Amino acid sequence: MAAKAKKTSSLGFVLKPMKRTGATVYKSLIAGRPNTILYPYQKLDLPPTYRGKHTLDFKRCIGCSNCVQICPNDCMWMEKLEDPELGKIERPGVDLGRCLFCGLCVEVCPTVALHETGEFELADPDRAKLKFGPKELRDDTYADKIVEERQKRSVPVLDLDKCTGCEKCAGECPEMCIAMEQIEGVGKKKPEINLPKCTACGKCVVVCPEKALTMKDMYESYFDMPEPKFILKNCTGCQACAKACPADAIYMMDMPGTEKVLKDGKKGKPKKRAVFVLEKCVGCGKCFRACKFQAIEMPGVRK
Amino acid sequence: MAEMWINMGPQHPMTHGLWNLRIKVDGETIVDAEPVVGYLHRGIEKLAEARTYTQVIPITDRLCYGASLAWSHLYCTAAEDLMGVEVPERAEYLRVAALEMQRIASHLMWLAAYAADLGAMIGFIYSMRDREVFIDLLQALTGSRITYNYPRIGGVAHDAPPDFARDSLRACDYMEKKLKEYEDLYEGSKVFMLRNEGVGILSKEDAMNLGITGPSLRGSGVKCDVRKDMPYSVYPEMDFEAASHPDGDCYSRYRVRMDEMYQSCKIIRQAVTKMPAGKWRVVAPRNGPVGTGIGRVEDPRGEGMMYIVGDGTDRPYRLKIRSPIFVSVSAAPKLLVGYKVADVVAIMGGLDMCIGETDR
Repeated sequence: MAAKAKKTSSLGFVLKPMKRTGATVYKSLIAGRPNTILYPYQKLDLPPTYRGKHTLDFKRCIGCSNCVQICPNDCMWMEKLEDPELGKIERPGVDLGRCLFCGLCVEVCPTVALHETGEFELADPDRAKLKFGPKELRDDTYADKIVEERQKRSVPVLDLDKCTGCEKCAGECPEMCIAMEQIEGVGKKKPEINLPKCTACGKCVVVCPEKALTMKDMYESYFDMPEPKFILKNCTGCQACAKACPADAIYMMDMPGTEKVLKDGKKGKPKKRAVFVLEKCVGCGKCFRACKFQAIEMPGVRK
Repeated sequence: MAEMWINMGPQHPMTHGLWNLRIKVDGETIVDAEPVVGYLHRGIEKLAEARTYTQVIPITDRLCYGASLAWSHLYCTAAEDLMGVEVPERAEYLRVAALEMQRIASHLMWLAAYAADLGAMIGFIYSMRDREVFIDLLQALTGSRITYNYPRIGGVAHDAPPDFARDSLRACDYMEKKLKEYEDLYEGSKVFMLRNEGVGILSKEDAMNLGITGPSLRGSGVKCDVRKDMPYSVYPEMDFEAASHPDGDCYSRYRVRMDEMYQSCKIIRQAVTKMPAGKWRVVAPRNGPVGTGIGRVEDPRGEGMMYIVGDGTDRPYRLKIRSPIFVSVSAAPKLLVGYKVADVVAIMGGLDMCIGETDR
């Protein structure tokens, strides 16, 4: 409890704080450097990273529902729509009354279709007006206007329908990152690309005789997404997963040798199976939810 | 004269949040005190069990409105300990710079509330004005003003904006100038000093026995700072001192916080100049392993700790949060007994209460 304060005379107790206050008054009132702005008339500049109301680019969005799944407050939902240009599509909507503005939906988006703008004046006495469906969020030009922060990467993308399994790409790859994998039951091979090792040299694309491989710019994901595991013996070839897949990563292939002999002696159509091209997979789990026969497993994903 | 209980709170200008301080008075003198917390219980520990590891980060931001970045950083360190994720060096420097800005912003908010409590309204206005400088910097870095959601398991969400280093250095220069102004304003004010000096004395032994951490403990003369004693992130490479003051009264706690702001300016300068280029984020596994992870950081209010138990799924099995203020407020009887009712505001204000993290 010893005396600690700086020794100040009783006059200093008055004059020192007064001097500081006077300086501030001079600065803001006389020198014309005010500390505040007239808010509704003047506005501060917001940084480009600011997280406000969402916008959605319909053309970029593939309808994978990753944003809906990562939302901590369940404030997003998928809506089925009919668009004159894009046909039957599924696009997310946001209930801003429940939104945390955490920005996880923007981060997880595999095609960077969802963005958060600098619009923050969203208060409304009516709660229902804070619910923004996909049509209200739509802004197809916003994503092209802003500077993108997410890193893009050029990777070879396989179209399995065209691929004949000729192994030329695997022979050409200088990094040895393409391995030919036998597709069980089909009797064909498909290239499996080890993306972390790929240097995007493009040699496999040049050498492909069927033009099945193309170089495509993909955004790098910051999240470890689950991968579907396929169980062949449960697959009935119903195509539900291929129809559900937003990234077109599932192909249906005939399995020769499984044709049933019909009554008139002719052979029927062969059984089909799903084949996954995991390089394209965005890890949304839609195939897992669509499959009614437990042929697809995704550990850690809830139905 | 008959003794009586007075409820200060839950709706009282002194409390800064929802909590109740019951004091037993004999005339003007306090003879007993009892803090009652729990009005803001949101069950954040339980909420975390229903969310994936990534989804918990924005929830931990809501633990404390004054220092949300410190808490999400704490959660991320605990989760990284559980998963064994190595954070890139640039991310660590970005985190440290952001954490120290958050510390200054938090202390300025405390100063604003404290000065206004003690009758110096000018303190509220000046501190809130200067806090805006750091809030603007953090907004440019993270994208939000209060709930930043900036650290991620395995790094940070964004890279720094182009002019971040220049703006931070300018903000530090500005802040050090303003801190001198505050010292003139408060320490030159007789009213402020009369209400602070020799009020709410907490001895070194009591502070250690009650488990108080942070500026309140350092204000009692104990040099205990998790940044120094159990260094995390890149704090070992930073040159700074754990501020402490020996007297243990309200003035001492005020002095520690002011000194910490000087030290934080020093750390920000080092962090933004030493910051290496490179990656700022690595991909963390989706599922945590079976095991436990622990994280301890020096929050602006004291030592925060989080303990995560993983069960192999993508959601934590249990998240335990140790709040520094929950412990500090239990020292209320020790601090208050023997002083007058008018001193309660200064004593409890000096602890820097944050109810969000206390009640969780």
